[in-house]
Amino acid sequence: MALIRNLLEFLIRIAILVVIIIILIPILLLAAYHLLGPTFPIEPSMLLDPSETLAFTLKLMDTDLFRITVFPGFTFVALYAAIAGLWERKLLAKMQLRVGPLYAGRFEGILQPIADVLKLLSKELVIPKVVDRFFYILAPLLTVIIATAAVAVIPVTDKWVIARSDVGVLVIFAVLGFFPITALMAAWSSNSRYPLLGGLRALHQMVSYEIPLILSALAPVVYAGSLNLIDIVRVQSSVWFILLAPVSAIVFLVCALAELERIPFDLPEAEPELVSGWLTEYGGMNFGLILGIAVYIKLYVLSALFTLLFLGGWLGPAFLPPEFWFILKSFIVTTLLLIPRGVFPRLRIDLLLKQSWARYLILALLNLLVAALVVLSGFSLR
Amino acid sequence: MILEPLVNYLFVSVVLFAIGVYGLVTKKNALRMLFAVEILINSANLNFVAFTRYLHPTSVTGQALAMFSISLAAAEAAVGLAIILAVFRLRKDVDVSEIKGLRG
Amino acid sequence: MVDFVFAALAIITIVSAILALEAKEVVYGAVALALSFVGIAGFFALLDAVFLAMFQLTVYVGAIAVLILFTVMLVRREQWLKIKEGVYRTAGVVAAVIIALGLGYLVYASAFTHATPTLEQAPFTLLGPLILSDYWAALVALSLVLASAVIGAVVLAKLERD
Repeated sequence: MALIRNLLEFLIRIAILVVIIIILIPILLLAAYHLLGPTFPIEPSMLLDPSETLAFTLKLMDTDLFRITVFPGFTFVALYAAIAGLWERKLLAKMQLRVGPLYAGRFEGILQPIADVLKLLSKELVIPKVVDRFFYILAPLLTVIIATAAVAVIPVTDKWVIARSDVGVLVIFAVLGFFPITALMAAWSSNSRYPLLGGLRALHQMVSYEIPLILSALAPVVYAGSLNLIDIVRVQSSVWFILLAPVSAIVFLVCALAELERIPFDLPEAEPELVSGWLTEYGGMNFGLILGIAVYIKLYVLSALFTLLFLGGWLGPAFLPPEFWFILKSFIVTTLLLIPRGVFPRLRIDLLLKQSWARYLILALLNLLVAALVVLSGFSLR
Repeated sequence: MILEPLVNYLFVSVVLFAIGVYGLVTKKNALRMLFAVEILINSANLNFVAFTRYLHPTSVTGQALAMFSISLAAAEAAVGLAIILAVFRLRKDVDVSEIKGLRG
Repeated sequence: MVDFVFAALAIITIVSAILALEAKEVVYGAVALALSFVGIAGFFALLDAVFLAMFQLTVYVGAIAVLILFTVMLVRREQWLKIKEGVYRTAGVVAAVIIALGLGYLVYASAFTHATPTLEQAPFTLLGPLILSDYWAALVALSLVLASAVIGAVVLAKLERD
């Protein structure tokens, strides 16, 4: 009897799922058509005519839909995140004289990200009984949504950008400000000691390091006289800001490490003390959403921001396309952010907070002051 | 871009203000009172910006005032939360009707 | 005719403001308050004050809401769920309704509040010169207030170590 009942339950669930899909998909399609309809440049007839394929593709690539979903948007960033994750594991393994992922994909474990995702997806989603279900489920989703939101204002080149904003730098910092909230939500909803301690540490760390991070990003803004990321890159055509504001660049890198909760600043998830910090109670794809996607998207955002602010963004010799230079520079910055994990030991929390307020804040302020004085004395790159 | 008439923004602001006043009158929990104050400040900020946008579209005075007000709100929240934490350490409670003596 | 975005923002802001005060669990209240701040930032963006909207998000959500959530988690107690607000509740509702009706009537009756939107708008770069020229005294006072607030908060936080 139990078997039959289970089978029935299973069938009913499948039926509900199918009904939801059948009802939801047309509604979504209709909504998409109504939202995009007037501006969407593609006629249905273009799909039928093979000679129009190229024009069709080009027009498709020029739509906001393509930008959001594919190139500077989610697909590109997710791919970048996957490659950065694999690169991190191989790089650390080489630094520590290990081999790292080796078997998936036959060549140096090149398909390891896919294997990881498949493994996480196939895991059962265990939701402990004592957690606060609403926040417990919401927190990973919100983390990914917020991380992806920051990507919208990052220009890969002056043509490939989702949202052109006059206050792009500020938008990214506004979005970064949401992360402590989701970390706290995850920590509190887990209803367990280690996550709570990890969450409180994460909060202290993110809030303390956000201030020097913003201040160090302000030096390029002062030199360029604009908060628009595209303008900031254009101004750097003669000299990169890393040469004009080297202290800010270093402070930015260190604070980015702390914002990302990476070694030597990975106290929120210090394994020997806190198991896995505020992620302890998460498993399966919930865990994968935060750690596998959100953290690496955040890594991309901060590397890209460093590239735009200090390394001249997509500017480079003309024999290769600007997109290539941007991705190459971002990847080098990502590598710089990954290396400390194999080199440094972990800091103590009070030293960590003291450093933020007593060193990085002052260094960033000093370089900001220098930048302001230089600009006031009549220096201009424009 | 479709812009509402000014009065709609003011209605939203009025409703928020009323909610804030309600919170200040009814709540005894110090944290909830702080929430209510923040809502009040937000409704005032909305008014600043809306009035400037509609009546003096070429000036940014309202935005400047809202910036000042937001910064003041940050200071107020920092001190308010520090007081709540200090009171909680002394009394193990944040019910303002229970906090009568000035001596800890 | 009410714009869809405006209506959605209004509903989000007002409902989450009510939730912030009325949610049983204070942590939910704090998150709802953060959502309400986001709604206000959305209004600023609708009013062509994108810089201010981002400023609001950075300060209110990134700092104030986080601090509030942090405090809530530190001082949360189960007994809070039992704090009674009985006697004042009617008074609060009456006060709120009176204020809403009175101010609402004032807003509705005054002539200039029906101003129609204009297309011209001021760039946010005017903010800096304005604050540093006309309002320099306010800026200095504000910085003093912020400094004293920081010092006061540190002193209050150190109380228990004595």
